[in-house]
Amino acid sequence: MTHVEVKELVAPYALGILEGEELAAIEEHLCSCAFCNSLAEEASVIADKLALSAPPVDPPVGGLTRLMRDIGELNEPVPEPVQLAARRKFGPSPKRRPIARERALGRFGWLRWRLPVPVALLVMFVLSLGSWNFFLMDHLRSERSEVDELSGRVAKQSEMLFLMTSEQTVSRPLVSTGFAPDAEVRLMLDPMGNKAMVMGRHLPQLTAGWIYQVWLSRNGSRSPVGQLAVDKLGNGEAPLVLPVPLKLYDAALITTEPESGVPLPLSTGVATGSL
Amino acid sequence: MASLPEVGRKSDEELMRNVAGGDGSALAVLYQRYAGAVYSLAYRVVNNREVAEELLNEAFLRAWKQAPSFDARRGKFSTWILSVTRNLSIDELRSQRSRPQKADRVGEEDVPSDLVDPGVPVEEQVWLLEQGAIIRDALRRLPEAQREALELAYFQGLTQSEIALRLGHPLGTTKTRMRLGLQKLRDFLLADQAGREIS
Repeated sequence: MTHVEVKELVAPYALGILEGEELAAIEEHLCSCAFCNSLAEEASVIADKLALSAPPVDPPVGGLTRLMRDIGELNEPVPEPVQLAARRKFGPSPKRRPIARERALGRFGWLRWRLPVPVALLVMFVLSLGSWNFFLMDHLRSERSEVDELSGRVAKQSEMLFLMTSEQTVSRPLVSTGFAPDAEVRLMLDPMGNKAMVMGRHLPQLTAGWIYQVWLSRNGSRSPVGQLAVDKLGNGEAPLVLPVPLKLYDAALITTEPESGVPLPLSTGVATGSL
Repeated sequence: MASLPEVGRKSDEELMRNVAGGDGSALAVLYQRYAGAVYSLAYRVVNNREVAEELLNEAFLRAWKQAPSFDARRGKFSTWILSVTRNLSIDELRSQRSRPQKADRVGEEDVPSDLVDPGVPVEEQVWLLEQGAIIRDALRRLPEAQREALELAYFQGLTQSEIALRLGHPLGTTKTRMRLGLQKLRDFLLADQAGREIS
């Protein structure tokens, strides 16, 4: 792309409405041209000021309270495992005292009808405690499983954060196809550490059972290296698993595939680009 | 957590460092400084109070979540959060285009509501209102066709092709108007800034 062509595209680029091949071409040019980069930065500063031209409208009352509540929910600690209630020990059933039958009936005859009732209640209570114990054990297993999953997610996000902020990370934008013309997809690559991740924005929501599959290819052969899930705004990021060194790959492709995974791409692709 | 008056004197960058450390009161101060601008921008794009409120909340949740990776060397917090808001708003607008939404009446002005919190630092809010007035004035001075092209691009996220189609102009004309419009806007703002410095 020439400087004249870049100058023509600086305005839509600064306004964030450039897409596809034009966006990829201008970004590639700006990486190596300080002059055009300064033009683009200047235009971006002006374009950003348009945000302030919106007529002032008071925000809703209670918005701050809601925000604080939401970040509180984000920061809720994993609940401690529920402490199992100690079982109460019950002594043996009261023995019958060796007294005359007639006297026992006379003095304690009333117990003959009333004693079984509390005993029955006692038995029911013990059985209920037992059931409750099984329920709590199951719940505890479920909570531990969630903790493990959360730990895994935190580890994954820490890894991605490191990749995003590392100085040796390089960024490779992918070109979107007609399936997702508004999508912005980018690979973050760390050749030294042999790590990579994919970041996507404005990707269309997929129907249940389908995911975005990331492929890396070398010498025409494609390998699945990760799946990308997106939120309701079409944004998402995911680490990639590289079976061979990153430097051996030459291109990347993102397709829509069944969630169960496929050995080779079945669809034409959402975004593609060279590494 | 530090008290509000104490954190209220800190710069945006200092506050974001505190937010990265899990300080909710720092985020609260940033909210009080920029909620007005963020909400106004969101409302300008989506023209719906409820949706704008959701976008306002989402923008600051993003600030909370991404504070650890926020780098003040790449730009000011105000620019960043407004950029996030605009992107969220445009995405919402695009998704709405496929499913018709009930919008507020165009041009209706909100009755100013009570301030969320009394005693909040107002310097940033006043500055934002002043800047907004300057930019609106500069936009009004642009030829209508150029202003229209810029506003369709910025507030509706339309591509140049879509703008050309919407306005019934050739694509080349739209590209030229957008380029000239941004250049003139820059010139107006620079001239205004120079005039203020002299006075």
